[in-house]
Amino acid sequence: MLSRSKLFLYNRYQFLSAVPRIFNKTFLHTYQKSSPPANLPDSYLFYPGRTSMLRMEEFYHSTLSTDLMILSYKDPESERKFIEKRQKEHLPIKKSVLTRDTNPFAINRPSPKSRGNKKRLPVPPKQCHKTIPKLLKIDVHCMIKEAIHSKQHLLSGIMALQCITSERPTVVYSKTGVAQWKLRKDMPIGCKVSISGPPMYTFLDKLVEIVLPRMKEWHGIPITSGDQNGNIAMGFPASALSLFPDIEGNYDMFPLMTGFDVIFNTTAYTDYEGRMLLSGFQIPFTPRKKMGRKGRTNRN
Amino acid sequence: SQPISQKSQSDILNLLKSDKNEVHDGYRIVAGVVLSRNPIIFRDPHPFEREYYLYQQRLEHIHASPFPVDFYFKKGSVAEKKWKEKKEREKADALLAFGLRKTKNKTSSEKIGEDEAIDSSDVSSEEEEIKIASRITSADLTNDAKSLDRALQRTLYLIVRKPREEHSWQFPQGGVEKTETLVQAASRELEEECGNCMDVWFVGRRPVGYYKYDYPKSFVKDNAEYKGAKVFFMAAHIFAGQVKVDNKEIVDFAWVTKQEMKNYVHTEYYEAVKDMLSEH
Repeated sequence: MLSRSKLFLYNRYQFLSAVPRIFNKTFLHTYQKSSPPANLPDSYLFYPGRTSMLRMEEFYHSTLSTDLMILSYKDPESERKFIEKRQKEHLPIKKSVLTRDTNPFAINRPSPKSRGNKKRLPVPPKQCHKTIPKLLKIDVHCMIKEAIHSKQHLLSGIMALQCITSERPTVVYSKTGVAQWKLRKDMPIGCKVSISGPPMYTFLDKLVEIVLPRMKEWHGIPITSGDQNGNIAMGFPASALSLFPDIEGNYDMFPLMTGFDVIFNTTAYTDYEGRMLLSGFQIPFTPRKKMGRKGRTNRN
Repeated sequence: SQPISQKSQSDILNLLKSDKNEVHDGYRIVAGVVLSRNPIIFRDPHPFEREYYLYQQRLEHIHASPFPVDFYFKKGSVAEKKWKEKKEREKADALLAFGLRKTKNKTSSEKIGEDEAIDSSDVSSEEEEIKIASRITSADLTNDAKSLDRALQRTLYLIVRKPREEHSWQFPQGGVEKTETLVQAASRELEEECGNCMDVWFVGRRPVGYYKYDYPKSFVKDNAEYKGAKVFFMAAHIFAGQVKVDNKEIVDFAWVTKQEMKNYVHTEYYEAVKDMLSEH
């Protein structure tokens, strides 16, 4: 008769692994060996490596990165002006920070905290093969306002995000309360998941090949989108969820369909380069219809 | 150094002769085109890479939480039935592969060998049988250098043949006129030499390579205006179409990979140009 803990280890394939199962997956007791490192298959934290080549990644390395290098190259004079302009616009709070490396009173001491609300963008490094814009990670976030009155509605969002990204999302809690919407502080109000590597490229592939072409009345990401530092965000309506092949099949299992937003986190230092990278992956951009200061262009 | 009066005379003569073309230090400014067809399919994985992926696939299968059949298939539905049938067939296939035949009465619960390769691309039900095209095309087998369907996993570059003995094979190139930019010159020259039946996109307006060469002495004797040429290469991609040979400026063309180019172009030219070309 197999003990309960051993039953847990036998999966549907019903065979023993090459490594003897001397580690127990229950709570750590003093008489047991320490848990194995997370990269070994016997650890409960184990996450398998990549199982195949990824289309989007291979495309980036073979074709896109070279084109991006050519398009984002700055001649030394322009590069110098660009870095200087960035440094000037985003000065650190105290002048002493500029001479941190040489100031003997500042070396090996914690740097001063930034005060005030002024946004400070990082200063880009000198360009080289490493600074070619690359997609780092994608954050998918879902805000479910129905969760205010009934927490069960969160489950729908969590399930949907898990299905489309293949990663388990974490719950987002409100930071402040708004009495008008009956929202209190530290209330579970949404879910988010951050994906990088193979899940990111498969998600991007699904978006570009299947979801975006089928979306109704969608002409592209607004050109004004961007946080001035190369990260582009876009929102999806609830109807977009049904277009994902992971959800298309069992659409009825999701009680509440919610919209979600997707944030592309890139290594680009300007929105222009971020947009260039995403355009390379065949994501269209469209100028906003409204005229005005930022109506048609995003010069950063 | 020349006396002043003679120098100004030759300058005026030069201006009259070469009123159209850009000149710098006696060298003709030329725009060249590095026209490439991007890879269409994955590169072949290294045997170790292949083994690694298979191993990770097996580990993923072992460590994955059980597939929630009730979540994806409704009880009693046709889709659920088909799914169960598919799973039975897969199991039977796996057992058959190791000579463990399935008995009539019950499904066997024997051990499945560890060498079972779980390939991601397998033929599913009869309804949707996707036929995967071959990675090696007919153009590969016949070594048709003019075809764009050859070497699908590599980048192919266009080289053209000029009607001369030495240094015949090169990238399409032509002189830059005084009133146009490098990209405009490159685009115009490509159209003049290779026809207008190609869908081409130039990557930005910046050159990607530079090659300076002197004309042979016999040529310089006749045309004293240029000592040689300075070529600025512009990167471009082809998406559709094919080259049309006009037999005036170019006689032949070929779409070649970086390694194959050594067999066509002169070694000096290859050394100057190879760093622009992709290994993929």
